[in-house]
Amino acid sequence: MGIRKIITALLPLLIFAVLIAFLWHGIGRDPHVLPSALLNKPAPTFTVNTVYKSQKTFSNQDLHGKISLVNVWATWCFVCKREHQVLDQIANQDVVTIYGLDYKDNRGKAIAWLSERGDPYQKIGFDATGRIAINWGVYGTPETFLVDQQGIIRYKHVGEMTMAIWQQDFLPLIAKLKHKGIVHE
Amino acid sequence: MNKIMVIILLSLCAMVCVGKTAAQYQFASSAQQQQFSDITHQLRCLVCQNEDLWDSQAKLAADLRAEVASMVQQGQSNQQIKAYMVARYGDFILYKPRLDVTTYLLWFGPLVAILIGLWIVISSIYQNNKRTLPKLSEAQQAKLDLLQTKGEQHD
Repeated sequence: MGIRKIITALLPLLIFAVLIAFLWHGIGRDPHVLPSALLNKPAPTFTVNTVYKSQKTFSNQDLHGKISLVNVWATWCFVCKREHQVLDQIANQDVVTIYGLDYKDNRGKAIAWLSERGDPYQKIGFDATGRIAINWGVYGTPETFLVDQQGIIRYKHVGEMTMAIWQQDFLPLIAKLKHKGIVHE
Repeated sequence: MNKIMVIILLSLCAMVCVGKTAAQYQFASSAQQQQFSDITHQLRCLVCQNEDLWDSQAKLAADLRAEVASMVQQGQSNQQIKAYMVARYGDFILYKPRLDVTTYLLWFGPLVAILIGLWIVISSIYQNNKRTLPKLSEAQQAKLDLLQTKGEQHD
């Protein structure tokens, strides 16, 4: 048997193996989790009214000078109820400033919801029409963005925030950003 | 008879849903209306990911249609509107994947695979045909000739 024949015989198997490798890599992934198109880009320019009238407005200027989380939520979002407890705990850790974006919601309901469950948010934007959220590439709730001291989006988590995700995905990145912040000052 | 009625009713409902999308927005010209229809057919609904923006009944799709409609009314081009969406949602929002170096495998892969398969099939048939007639030595060939002519004579 010539070497050519051996190669011809093995080639389909090789191609199959490569194909299986690609499919295997894809099979564990959730097709509904889309990577953010805004990673490492500045947060979109926006100004929006806040849920509490006393806070006046929430804009991208608020996101400068500190590491922030921007959490998109709504009272009609079932999963957001569970996530809220985690956000309360994160707020207590004093590691980041948490901003909220209330997505296509009812102001009265939002205020009632927060008085029941606690308010981890420094400010909460009231996105009645959802247009602000579109600029952030939001396609569902909840979604949480990590924004650095220069207002650049560094990470996005689609779906419920849990303590595990906070510890595994967010904290290491935050530590890196804090280190960068110190070095550059 | 009942089955036919059900099919007719469902078809009417489907037509109403599509009609709703078209009539919802006011455009200055039929050209703009056509542009709106074209673009919403070329963008994907991110919630119902197999549907385009035109068809999908998801709330996000309705919001994105409103965005597209206002951009069309402002006179923006197809390219500008698509760039706006891709900047926010990534390539996935395009219903048809882009054709560039990174997607050549996606676009041409199946065709190439079929061609390779055809080549394999044809070449193995060709080889099979070659193998049907074994090589004979001179003595065997002579015997064969003799047998063949003998056979003809008997016919």
